[in-house]
Amino acid sequence: MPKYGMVIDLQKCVGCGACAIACKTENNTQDRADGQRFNWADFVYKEEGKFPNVKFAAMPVLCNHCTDAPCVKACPVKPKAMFKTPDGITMHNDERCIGCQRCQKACPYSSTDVDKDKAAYSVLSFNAHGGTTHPFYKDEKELIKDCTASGAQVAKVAGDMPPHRTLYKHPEYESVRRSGITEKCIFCEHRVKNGEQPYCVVSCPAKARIFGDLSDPGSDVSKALKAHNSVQLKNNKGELLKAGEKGTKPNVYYIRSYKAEAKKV
Amino acid sequence: MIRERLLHKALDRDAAVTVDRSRCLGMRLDGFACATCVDVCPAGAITTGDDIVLDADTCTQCMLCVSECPSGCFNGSKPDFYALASKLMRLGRSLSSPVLGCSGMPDRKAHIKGPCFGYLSYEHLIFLAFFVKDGFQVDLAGCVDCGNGFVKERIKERLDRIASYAFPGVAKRIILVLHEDELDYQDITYDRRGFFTVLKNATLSRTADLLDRQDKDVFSSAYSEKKLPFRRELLNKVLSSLSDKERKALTTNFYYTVGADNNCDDCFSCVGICPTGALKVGPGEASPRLAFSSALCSGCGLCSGFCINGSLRVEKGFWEDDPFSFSAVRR
Ligand code: SF4
Ligand code: SF4
Ligand code: SF4
Ligand code: SF4
Ligand code: SF4
Repeated sequence: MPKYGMVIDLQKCVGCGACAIACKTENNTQDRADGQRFNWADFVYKEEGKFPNVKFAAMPVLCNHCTDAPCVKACPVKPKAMFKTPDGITMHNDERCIGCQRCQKACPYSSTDVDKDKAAYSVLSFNAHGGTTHPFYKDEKELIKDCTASGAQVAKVAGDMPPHRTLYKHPEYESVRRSGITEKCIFCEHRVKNGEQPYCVVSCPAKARIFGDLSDPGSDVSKALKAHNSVQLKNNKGELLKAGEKGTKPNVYYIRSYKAEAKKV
Repeated sequence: MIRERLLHKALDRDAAVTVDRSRCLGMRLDGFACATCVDVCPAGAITTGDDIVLDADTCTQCMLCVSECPSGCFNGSKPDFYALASKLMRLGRSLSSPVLGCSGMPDRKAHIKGPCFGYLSYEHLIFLAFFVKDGFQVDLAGCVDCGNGFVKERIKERLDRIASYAFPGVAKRIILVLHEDELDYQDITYDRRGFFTVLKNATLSRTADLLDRQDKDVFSSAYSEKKLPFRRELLNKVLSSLSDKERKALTTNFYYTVGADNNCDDCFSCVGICPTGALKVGPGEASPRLAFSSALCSGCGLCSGFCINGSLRVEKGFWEDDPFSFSAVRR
């Protein structure tokens, strides 16, 4: 059985956000709203120092597919709506999820309300009960009246919701999630099952993201981890696990730390 | 006994009991102690554990699980109940006391037949008692010969309980026929006027809101979907038609109130676990509070079993004015 994980090379990453956009189009995630991010692939930006001596770092973030996943432990339903697949993916089942948000509370990388929590991101997002997903494309309001098209018009002409929807079929999750449930990165399992890489990995122009089997010493991820020291995130405020600290045993690793520096010359 | 069982099944295929696991309290909350269906099923056809499973071959279709599960997990008799009720209402216009029978008893005379009487829950009986104002007979006399005959006692108990809860007069409209010779069966004869009355009433009751159905959702087996148990829907229909005094008797005995302690931090987890939609995020953009509507609450207790802070209490009886409106949960 493979044990999937990801390694992100911070010296290669240019902080362009292509992965985040790629994920949004692949998994049809909606815009941020009401303290929810809906960015399965997101970023932490760190700034240090005082102008003009500043350092800036960008770290792409996603669900860590933790080995000791507290989100799974917290899920109350039977069989669990949040569970580990045999190959290490933290998977979510849309049909069984009751939308209690216990997973969001349990996950150190998530917040039920990112704004209130002053968190940098949340790998789990929640579609409000009785709400509407992709409200933008259901809204009849035109940005400029009688000039631009409304979201609803675009969706109607395109014939799908959202208009750019990537249709895929997976037994556990829908390509567009319903209201009243949570959603998160599933390592693009619908692609991985077909021998493809997650879409964020494919679309990274800098080849900064490596995905593969951590249990196979010959895999690219294992080789990268062998060649470099690595760190893992501790929470959604951007802190890192200290040496020896296990946390939730996250399976997303960062190698070759990088900070852009501006110096007075 | 076996013969009767099979006969019943062969005659009334539509009555097969189906399971909606997304409603089961033990499935929504792992470890929640409910074994009502397992305890109530005399055939031992239901098992709970990793899943809730009803063995169709063992099931004798007595419908007791349908009438006892607090969450409406089984929906054996749902599709036809409104039709059955409105037919009884119509029959009451031309007969002094129409007879409701069991389709498992092909030799017995009845004006309308349904599945085994086990489906007649408190809520069904209250509904029939209030809406079939002219009264009707339930022919339980055949039960002695049937493998499901134990339901007779259950129906008696239920009707007695309804009578004891301040509805003695109304409960009397339902006459339980326990012995052969108690049955008062009249053939339907229509005179001209009677015929047109029946026709008119038939049209009226068909369009009546009794028959309105809840909107069907695309994701029907999703746990996240809120569904009002059918029995609760029946009670609500009765409640809407009652005088204030009668309403109190019903709401104090058959409705519930959810209250919270001060340590409730409005995390709204319970909104997700509630199967019926009785709890919701109340109004107030900045700091919304938990809101509750008694008409949607089945009293299942799942919310209080689930709350991390142990804040929620589910109490029998609703004492305020309007069970249909949502208002902030009392602290
Ligand atoms: S990062 Fe959060 S959501 Fe992902 S597996 Fe870990 S605890 Fe679960
Ligand atoms: S929101 Fe869904 S996945 Fe998360 S803990 Fe609740 S039921 Fe499980
Ligand atoms: S696409 Fe690649 S380079 Fe761009 S932000 Fe993502 S990981 Fe970094
Ligand atoms: S009675 Fe209903 S809620 Fe209770 S265990 Fe049986 S199916 Fe589940
Ligand atoms: S409010 Fe509580 S007791 Fe009432 S139906 Fe919902 S979960 Fe059950």
